[in-house]
Amino acid sequence: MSKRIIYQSDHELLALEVKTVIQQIQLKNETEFNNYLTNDPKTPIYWLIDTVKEEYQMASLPHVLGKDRNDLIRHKKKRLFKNNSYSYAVVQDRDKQGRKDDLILFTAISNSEILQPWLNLILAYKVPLVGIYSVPILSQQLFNLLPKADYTLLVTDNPSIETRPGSIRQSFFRKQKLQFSRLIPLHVSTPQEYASYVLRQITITQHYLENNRLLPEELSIIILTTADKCQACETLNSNTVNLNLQFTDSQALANQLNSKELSLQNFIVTLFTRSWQVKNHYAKVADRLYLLHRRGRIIMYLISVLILAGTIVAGGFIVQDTLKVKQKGQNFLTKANIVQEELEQLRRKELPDLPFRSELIVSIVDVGLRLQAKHISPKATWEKLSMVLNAHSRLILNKLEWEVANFPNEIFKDNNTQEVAADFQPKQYFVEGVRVHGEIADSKSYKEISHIFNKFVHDLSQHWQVKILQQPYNTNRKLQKRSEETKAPFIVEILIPHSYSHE
Amino acid sequence: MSKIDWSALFTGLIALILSIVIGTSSIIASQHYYQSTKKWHKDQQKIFLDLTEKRFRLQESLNVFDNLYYARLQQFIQQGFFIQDQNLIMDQRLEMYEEIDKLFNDKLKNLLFADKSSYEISEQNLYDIPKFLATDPEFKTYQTEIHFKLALLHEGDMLKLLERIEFHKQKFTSLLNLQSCTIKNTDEVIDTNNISAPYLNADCVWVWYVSTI
Repeated sequence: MSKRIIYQSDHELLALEVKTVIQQIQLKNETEFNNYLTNDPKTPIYWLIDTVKEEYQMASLPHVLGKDRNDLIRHKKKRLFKNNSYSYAVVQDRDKQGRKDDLILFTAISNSEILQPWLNLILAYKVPLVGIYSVPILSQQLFNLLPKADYTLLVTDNPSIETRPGSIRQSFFRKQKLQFSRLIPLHVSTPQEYASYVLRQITITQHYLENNRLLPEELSIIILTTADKCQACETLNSNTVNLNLQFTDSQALANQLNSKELSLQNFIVTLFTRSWQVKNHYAKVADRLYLLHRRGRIIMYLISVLILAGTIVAGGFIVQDTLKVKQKGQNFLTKANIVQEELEQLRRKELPDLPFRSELIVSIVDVGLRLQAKHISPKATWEKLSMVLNAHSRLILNKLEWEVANFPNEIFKDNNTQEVAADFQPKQYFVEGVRVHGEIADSKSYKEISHIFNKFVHDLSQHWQVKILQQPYNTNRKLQKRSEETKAPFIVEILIPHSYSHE
Repeated sequence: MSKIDWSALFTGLIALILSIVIGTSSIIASQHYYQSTKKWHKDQQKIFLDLTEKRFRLQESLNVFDNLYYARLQQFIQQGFFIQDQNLIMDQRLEMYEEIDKLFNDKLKNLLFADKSSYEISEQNLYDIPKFLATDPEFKTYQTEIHFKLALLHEGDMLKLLERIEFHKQKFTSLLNLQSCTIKNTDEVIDTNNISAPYLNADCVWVWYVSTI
């Protein structure tokens, strides 16, 4: 994964482009840094700090979470580093006993002026700064490739070159978590001198750890350097101090990392580049302003792309639907053209010299004949009904309704719930309807009423189809005890279909 | 809190605004296209259905049309049922008014209790031609309802009244149909010696039809 890295030590500022190999450019002054930024102000920068001016403090704080933890850490930072604005804290572990406090590493760059000139330029050119990272903290990642122990002192060196003096970094780890680190100068020329110097420095550090009761167990010391120096250290150690030393050939590690350079700087940069995401150590929100802006911009681009993609998809669906509708319309257009042609052909078949179009003539005649057919007199029906009523002296006729309609359900306006018989063909029939509202006078019993009424209905049925709308007696209540004055009203309906033909 | 540097967000904002504008425009445009196509589709469908109906009617007409139809047309024109010139309908209506008045106040007079009888002619309205007749859309039939409220002595007078109207019907132009009739006994107790009071109320509706294009 390609990353643009600035590596700052006490003696040099390097711009590292990590692709397949690490390309390194030394930036000697602000002008060169200026040019470097101007050339590419858009690519985000990762800033690695490797300085002697970094402080480390381990502290235990009550185990709380969320805002309380942040407040506690902020308060502790202020106490430890006063107004030092570039500080960092990371919860590493918890006490196994007592209050089970959180064990927290606090670090700070004691002289933040070393950052400021470069940082000002980064902000001036609006270059996104991803974070400022501590190289000793990042060196924890080396334990993926090194032997592990509970208490480890990792000794690494940067040999001197023309542009910078050599240095040794001793970093103390508890369970692979950094506790503190020391950067000391290295002025030696032979492996033997190196071995003598390094072992002396290790002994000092070990005494310091023991004096501060930081070493409940034996210290495992890993020396990461070249094979000849390892050999010299091993020989000297066995002859003198006999420390618990382990040696890692920096060349072997470099091979493992596919790196050419054997310095700690290169190992860290290589591992850092391979990490997907590393949490920022020192950079403040203000320093990362343009990174946040960049992320905001990327989010806006993404939203824009999503909006465009969404609307294109939605528009596509709409257009797809539209094309379907258009196709249907096109089908209607084609069919309409065919029908139009057929219509014109039919027109040519019409008789000539007619006063109107034949459809109009047919309409006039059909409607006229229909209305003419419906011109009927109720006389015949009434006379027949009168004959039936004459045979029933006990029946009194109160009201007689008569009506002509096209459909049975059209007849008598209050009768629209009546269903049309499925076999009724309005083209061939229309309906004459009669409703008889009457009552049975002087009825003495339910049986008598029933008899008279049934006889009446029977007589009507000899001529027509009869429908009883209201019985003169209530079959549910069986009105047996009717008084003599009580009348028994009834309604019957007669529908007479009249055939119609204009032939 | 760091201030927002809007210049650093400018391209993002522009992209966002552009995407919203382009997206919204494309949706509106595609919707507009859809709606206009839908309208066009409906128009085409309507044209097709109209033409199909026309063809059906014409086909039906040609199937049934014969010389008898022409003769019947002449008959309906002579009868006054069909009037080509709409303006003449009013004249015909006025004639009908006169005939009804004559009928009521003269021909039926001796059958009715005049002070208790009346008639009312309603406004002319469009007759709803049954759909099964599939008539030409230009062809229109109008109907005028004439309500007779009649006070009669007995049922026999009612039958006589119908006969007289039927006889008088020849005087009417166009078609006059009895549509409904409701006969009720009055509350009077029947006294065969007293013929000065009506014993029957009839409420009948005749409908006068006329058609045109």
